[in-house]
Amino acid sequence: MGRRVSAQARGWDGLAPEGDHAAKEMAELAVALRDLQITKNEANRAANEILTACETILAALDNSACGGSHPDIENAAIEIMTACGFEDLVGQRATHASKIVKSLMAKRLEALGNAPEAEDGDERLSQTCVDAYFADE
Amino acid sequence: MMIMGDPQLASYNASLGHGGRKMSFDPNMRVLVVDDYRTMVRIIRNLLKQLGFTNVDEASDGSSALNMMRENDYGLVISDWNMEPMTGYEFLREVRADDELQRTPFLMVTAESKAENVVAARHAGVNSYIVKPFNANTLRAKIESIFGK
Repeated sequence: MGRRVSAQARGWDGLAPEGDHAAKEMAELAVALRDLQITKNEANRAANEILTACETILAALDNSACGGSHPDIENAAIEIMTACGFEDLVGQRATHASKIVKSLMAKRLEALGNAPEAEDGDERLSQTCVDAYFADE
Repeated sequence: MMIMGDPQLASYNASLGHGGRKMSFDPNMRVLVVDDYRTMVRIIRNLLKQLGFTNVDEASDGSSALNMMRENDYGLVISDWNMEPMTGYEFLREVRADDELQRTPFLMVTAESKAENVVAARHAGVNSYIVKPFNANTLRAKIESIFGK
């Protein structure tokens, strides 16, 4: 059974103290989710830029008048290219972490569903938090 | 090394013929790279090119890869494990269960390095297994080991 919460006790966002804490937690989780997505995006961008540069080097070696006489450069370009596999590992780990964060957000949402009722039943979460939870990766 | 007990593996080994046979190596053969990370496909494609393989196709999941295998003749499949909706492991099992496709050499390249995954892939009939991150020499060595070079 919920308890009635005075407007004074609710604070500026209209939430009871317990709801306020949960909303702040949700906001922090939303920020974490956003940071993970940014990490994936930046890793993808960097890896693709590096690959493009390596492909340019290899193509230039293929087309150069010297033909295949720069094995050191070719091997170095290949090593750099192979190292771009970091993007795959970063992406997989970030995806896994995102799923955990979303799971935590779901549990917080469920917990808020059982939270003490506010006097006028206003929303307990910002749209930003809700959107972050439902955002596709 | 024979691992007994898995009917699918037994069927695959039987398909190799009595006493097994080495798969034929042809640098002009068609290779299928399956990974949902475009960057990784690009890396493997470039490494294959350095090894002399220029006839390379790509797919981003097991389902579309299976369809491509049924339409084209591939001499080698290189696949990731973590894909959706069909994982690389499920894709491997589908390939080994198909009478037309079961003899296709299959190389798993994946971040999944738990013993249970490696064993499962071996039981399912994978020819070789590379753990990410990997380098060009590892890819070359595994391909050469599949074709007995």
